[in-house]
Amino acid sequence: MRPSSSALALAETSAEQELLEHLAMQTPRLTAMRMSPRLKAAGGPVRVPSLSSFPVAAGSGGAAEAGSLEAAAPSAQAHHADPAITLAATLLKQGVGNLVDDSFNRCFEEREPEPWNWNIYLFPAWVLGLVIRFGVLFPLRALALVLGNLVFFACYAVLEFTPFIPTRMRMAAHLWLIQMLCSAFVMSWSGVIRFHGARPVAKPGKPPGIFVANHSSMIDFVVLQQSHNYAVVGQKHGGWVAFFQDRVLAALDCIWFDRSDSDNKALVAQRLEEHAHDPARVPILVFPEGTCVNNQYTIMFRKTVFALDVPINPIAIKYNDIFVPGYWNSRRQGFGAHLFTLMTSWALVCDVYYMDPMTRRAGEKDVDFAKRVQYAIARRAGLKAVDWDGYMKYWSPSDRFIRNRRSQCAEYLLAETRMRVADSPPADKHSRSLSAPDASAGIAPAASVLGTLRASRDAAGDGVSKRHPASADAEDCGLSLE
Amino acid sequence: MGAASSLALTGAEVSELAAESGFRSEQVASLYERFRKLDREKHGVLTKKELMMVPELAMNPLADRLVDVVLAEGSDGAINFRDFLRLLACFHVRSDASLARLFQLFDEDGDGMLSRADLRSTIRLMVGPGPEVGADGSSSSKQKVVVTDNEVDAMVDSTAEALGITGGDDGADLSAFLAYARACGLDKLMRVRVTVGTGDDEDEDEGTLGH
Repeated sequence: MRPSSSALALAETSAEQELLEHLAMQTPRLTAMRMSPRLKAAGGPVRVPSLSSFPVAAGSGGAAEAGSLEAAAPSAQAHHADPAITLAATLLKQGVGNLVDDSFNRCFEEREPEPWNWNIYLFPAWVLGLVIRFGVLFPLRALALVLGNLVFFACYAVLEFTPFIPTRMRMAAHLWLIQMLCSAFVMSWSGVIRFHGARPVAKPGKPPGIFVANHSSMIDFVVLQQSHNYAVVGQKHGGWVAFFQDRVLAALDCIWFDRSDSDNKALVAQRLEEHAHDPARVPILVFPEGTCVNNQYTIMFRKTVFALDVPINPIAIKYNDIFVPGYWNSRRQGFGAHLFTLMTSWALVCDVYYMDPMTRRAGEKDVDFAKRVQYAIARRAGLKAVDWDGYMKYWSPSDRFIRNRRSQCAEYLLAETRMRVADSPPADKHSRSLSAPDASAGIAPAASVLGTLRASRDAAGDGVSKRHPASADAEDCGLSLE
Repeated sequence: MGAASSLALTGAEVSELAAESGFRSEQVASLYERFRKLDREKHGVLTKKELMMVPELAMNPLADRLVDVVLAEGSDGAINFRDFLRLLACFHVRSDASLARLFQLFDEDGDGMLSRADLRSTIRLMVGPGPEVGADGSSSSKQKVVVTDNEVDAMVDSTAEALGITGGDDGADLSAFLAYARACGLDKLMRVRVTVGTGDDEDEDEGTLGH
């Protein structure tokens, strides 16, 4: 493992363990669920809540349910096979399955627009729409944007070069200008932004807390900024974005860092801490996923801000894909092209949910708190929560993940081999391992290696609220309030 | 190769590839999209490095060998789209071809025989290295569950017995392995479906046998 990864602390043991369990079952479950509507109807949403997220600790009820799910899954077919061969076959199947589809890249995939215009009636309408969007809307929006920028930079220059303005006034004016500029951007996309819930406000003299939101595009920042000022923590960009970051947004007192520079990390944490405790400064907004996700999923929240002793104010952002997806796939297009896409679409429709503040409980680890917030946001925005670390876009998974998967395999093979020795008729043995969960402690992990036992935590809908322990806590915090 | 290096597939290429592989045209098109996403360097072929960038695959205990089995489908350590399709087609329906890939996965030395040594090394890869014995004789490991050499021996014995490998012979050949694996229904276990769009249109009980 490269040194930087350890400094970035990919995940701590408990969260990591869950990811592994999640992985172990995910591929086969997805294939099973996706290939078969029948299974989805019968075994999916209905049974899933009764399955524990923690197979090792599963009570007998959950595991018995799992047995019935497993019976429907293909692996039951292989019950006479030698365990080592079955395990290798399962791993091969998972590997080949990952060539077709994998749960990591699914978080960053754009949804393909459904073609609807290839129809003799709709085609002219579509062409007309195209003419309006590119010929009328786009120039108007570009004009709005240019005007907004002109006003902004004119005032900005006045503020910068007029010596008599008191600092406080200069700052206030600058902050107002930033909001105005963001509004111009939102206008240039015909942004329809609906805010839900009350934005938490700190009591006078108290630290405002840190706002935390899911991330789909750099426009998240603009969408939030146009209503209230936030200082953001983010990746240093190059090009003209860098100019915005360093000069235009200077009044916000943002924290910019380089993702690949791990030395920077301690410094970032320290600056965050200082900033978060200072009620006089603009409140901080963090996108703890660390990368843009496609607005269908939330991925692991990085733990840094959750280790600080300040309240966390979650914000859930959900773009409505009806006209244009809010997701910016930076691998496929530059930010300018992304803006152009937005400016030539009918409208950008977006829901922003302010949620009640959450605080870390006594004895709660930072990673667990991060996860609790992540799942709460996912639930509010109707996104699926997964435990993938977004940095795996850039770095290979650490050896620890492989070691843990090997541990699971070892546990399975040990249990199976011992049982084989103890029980002479192999057919009997297998049916027992499926239906009698308390027969041996080795069975639950074994089944999770085979990947059919456990339900994933699809946070979409309310599935997760019934399964994940964090959700109960979320309820306590009043997060389920409308 | 022409299909893989050009940017988009023509309709004729899609139907040709569909006929060749047994996939439906929509499946070919969607797999081609996937292939292009995996092909980060945009050379029209997938290499080990590119495949290992899929985190879920990189975490597979047999990742290294698995990728070798996949790449053996092509040439020079890379597969083009046609190879990619051919490989996936083996797993799309119940087939001996998928079982042969499993045999390949076990057959470390590539001599066409599954020997006890092949079994041992494969099992070791799956369960991880044995306990590390320190200078003072104490054993330690970073892994939570560690399997000792004796335990691996027992696993090898059990697998060898299942495959009918006795002490004296060279091991099980492909046909013996296929007969065993087929009888156990492993070809069914290893089916990998390719769904298009929502996936609900997939005929779920296509029990295509053999191939």
